[in-house]
Parts: sequence; structure tokens; C-alpha cells
Amino acid sequence: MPTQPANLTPWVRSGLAALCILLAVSVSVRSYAYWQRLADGAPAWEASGQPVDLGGGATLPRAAAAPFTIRVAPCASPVAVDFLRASPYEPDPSLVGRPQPGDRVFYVYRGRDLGTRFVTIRLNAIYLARLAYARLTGQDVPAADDLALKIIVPAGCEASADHVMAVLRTAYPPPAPSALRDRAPPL
Amino acid sequence: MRDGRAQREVTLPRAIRGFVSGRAVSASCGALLAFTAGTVLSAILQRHLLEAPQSAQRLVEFNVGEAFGFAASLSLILADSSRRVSLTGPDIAVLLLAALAWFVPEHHGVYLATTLAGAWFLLGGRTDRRRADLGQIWLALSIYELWAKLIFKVAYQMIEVIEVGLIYRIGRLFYGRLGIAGASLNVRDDWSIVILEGCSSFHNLSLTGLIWLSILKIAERAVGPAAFRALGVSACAVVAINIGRILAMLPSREAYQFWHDGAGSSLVALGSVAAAILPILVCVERDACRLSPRT
Repeated sequence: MPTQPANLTPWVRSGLAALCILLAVSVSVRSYAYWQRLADGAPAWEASGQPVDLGGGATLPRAAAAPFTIRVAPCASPVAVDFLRASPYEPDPSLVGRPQPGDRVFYVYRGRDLGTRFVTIRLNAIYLARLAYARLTGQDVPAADDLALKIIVPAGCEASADHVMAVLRTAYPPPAPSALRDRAPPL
Repeated sequence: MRDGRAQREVTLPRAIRGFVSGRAVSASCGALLAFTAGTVLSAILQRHLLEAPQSAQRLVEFNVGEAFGFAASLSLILADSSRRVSLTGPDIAVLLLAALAWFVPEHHGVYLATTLAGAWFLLGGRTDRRRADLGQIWLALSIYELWAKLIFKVAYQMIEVIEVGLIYRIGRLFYGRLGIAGASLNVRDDWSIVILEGCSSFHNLSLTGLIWLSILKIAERAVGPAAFRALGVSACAVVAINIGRILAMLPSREAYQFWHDGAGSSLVALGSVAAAILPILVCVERDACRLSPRT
């Protein structure tokens, strides 16, 4: 019959006491937060309205985050830019925009090229990571409604995602939403 | 008289037997009890005090999963004193470290505690089956409450495509005019339903796994082919119930409201739980009858 080694018992008892104290503190903290919430009202979960981060310190006003086209030096046809909300509850990114056969598609988040494989999973992971960060840091308005860019480079043009992003960062004021607006649901 | 005593020994739950035998709960048992109860209590308080109100269906599902995981943990912790888990210094340190997750301000995140402690007990339980069992239950609880939900959200669009395709194929057997557009299904031109996260069978399957493992541990049965068959039956029944519910929503708005928000929703939740419990319960009871025909 295994029994508790005598020299360990004080450690285990201390551990039990510490667990009970942690539990009491945890219950107290939640009870306090509950009463505080009853007094102040639940925080509203609204869109943050923060600008779109293009990387390299450049941003795009949220109001300008609608599909548009932009001229990029080596391309004969304009490059199409769409905006995707990084969230599991948004439409499949591959369904946004209408790339033609031969077009190259890039997904960019905060100036970083996400590649073309498993983009949906990456965007969902970004959303969850930002949501977790917002929860852990106690932000009332979770900064989880970030936008990523979907860039469609026409066939025959060799411009890279970095090159297009460099043009986008310097294009101020941002290009007006074009006739391409109807290619995606409004954000 | 002797037969009667033997029968009581077999049928009386192990946890109660430990208490009625008059032996005091050791410090190790107390620490394990405090950790298990603290984790479940923290998650419940977070969910009910600080997060959005739960629908009847989700309330039933969450409480059932936690209840089974908690009951299996209690059963293992309060086993006969000869088989109780004894804690060492590093065990206590890991439990205290894991207990810090009680303060995570999100009810799924609280189960990081059982992830850490469960992994520690499972890895350190090669020589002690009771520790390994406890580790398995804690890990199953954290998989159901946290990791399966996280994986589902990350791969939502991929899982949704598979699930909607399956519902469509089965639905065509019942509805000749069943149409599909993305995640949307319809049998009429003026009414369609969209399959979202809450409609998925994914979470019901992880709940089924947790219930299956909990019943096996409570009954002290090893995992064998019969148990896996019972798990397969439960999984198929749970998926069938969910698909049946979604197909029942298709004809009209009234049908949707009944099966999605009304009494039909709770009925489906209870039916899913019953489908998860009954096959493994029958399997365990049948084994028990084979092992001791007199009882």
C-alpha cells in the first residue's frame, strides 16, 4: 500500500494550501469583475475602426478600405487590391476578387506576404492570436478586426508583392475605390 | 450474507467506498481535488458571470462535458487508498504553475491548466497507471473545452466545406430539390439556411470522446476493440442526429426556429448526449456481466 513519504507531506500540504488560496483569489477576482460590470455595464464590442497597416509605418484610413486598382510601373494593366477581414467568420478569401487565369495572387498582412497556401488558416490564426492578446491585456474593444490585403497582379506582369506594397505605401491620398468595388462585399 | 457484501463491494462507486471506509482524504487527494474543482469552477464562473449568455443547447453540452470529466477525475482521485495517486514535489510545482491559468479571462483558456497538468501526469505516469489515467482525463477535458474549439476555428472553412458536402449528399436522399451554394442549403427559392460553427458536428464528436473516456475510467475498463466499436457507434449517431436536425430546418422558417432556437434544439442536445453515453454504457455493463455473472 503506497503511502505519502513523510518528508514530502509538508510540501503537499503547503501545495494544497496554495491551491486553495489561488482558488479563493480567482473566485474573488471574477466576482469583483462581475459586480463591476453590473455597475458600469458590459463593454461594447465594436469595430475598432483602426487604419489598415500596410507595413513600413504606412497606414490606409479605414474608410478607404474598399476594393480599388492601382497602376504599378512594370504592369500594363492595373493591379487589383481587395481587403479581407482576418476572421473565421468571413467569406473564404479565395472567393474575394476575380483573378483571371494566369493572374498571380498575393495575400499581405501588415506588409508581410502570407504566401498563397493555407491563407485561410493563417488569417484565422492571426485573428485568434489577436483576440487572445486583446483578452489577456484586458482591452474593452478587441483589436481583432484587422484587415489583410489581397493583391491580384495581372498575367504577364512580374511585379512582386513587396513591389506593389511599396507603391501602395507611397500612394497618398489612397486611390479612390474603383469600379472593382462590386467584386467584393463591402467591409 | 457474504454474497450480499460481495455484491455491495462491486456495485458501490469507488469514490463513495473510499469515504464510507472512514479513511481521511490525504493531502495529495486534497491537492488533486482542489486543482480539478478549481479549474472547473473557474471556467464555469467565467462563462456564467462574465461572458455572453449561453443558449440552451450549448448550456447542456458544456455542462455535460465538464460534469463527465469532473466525475471521472473524482473517481480516480478518490479511489481506494491502496491505489491513490501520491504527489511529489515537482507534481505540486506543476499543479501550482498550471493553476495560474485559472486567472485567464476566457473560459476556454482556463483549461490550459488541465493541459499542462494532464501532459505532466501522462508523461510521468508510465509506471503508475492511476497517474496516467488522471492525465488522460485532464487532457481529454482540455481537448474538448479548448484545443478542439481552437482547431475548429482555425480550420473552419475547410471543415465547413466537408461537412456541408456530406449534409448535401445525405439530404438529396430526402429532398429532391435540395440546392447548395457555398455553405448555404435550400429546398425552396425563398428560404435557405447557412451552416455556421454552431451547426457543426465537430464539437459533438469531441464531447463524445470525452464522455466515452470518462465512462471507461469510472468503470475501470481498459480500452479495447469493443470500446472502440462503441465509440464508433456513438460518433455515427451524433453526426446523424446533427445532420437530421439541419435537414429538418430546411422546409420553412417555422421548422428552423423550432430546431435552431426552440425546444427542438434542446431535444437534439439531449439526444446527442444520450447517443454519446448509451453505446459505451451498454459495452461496459455487458463486460461487467461477463466478468461477474452472479452480480
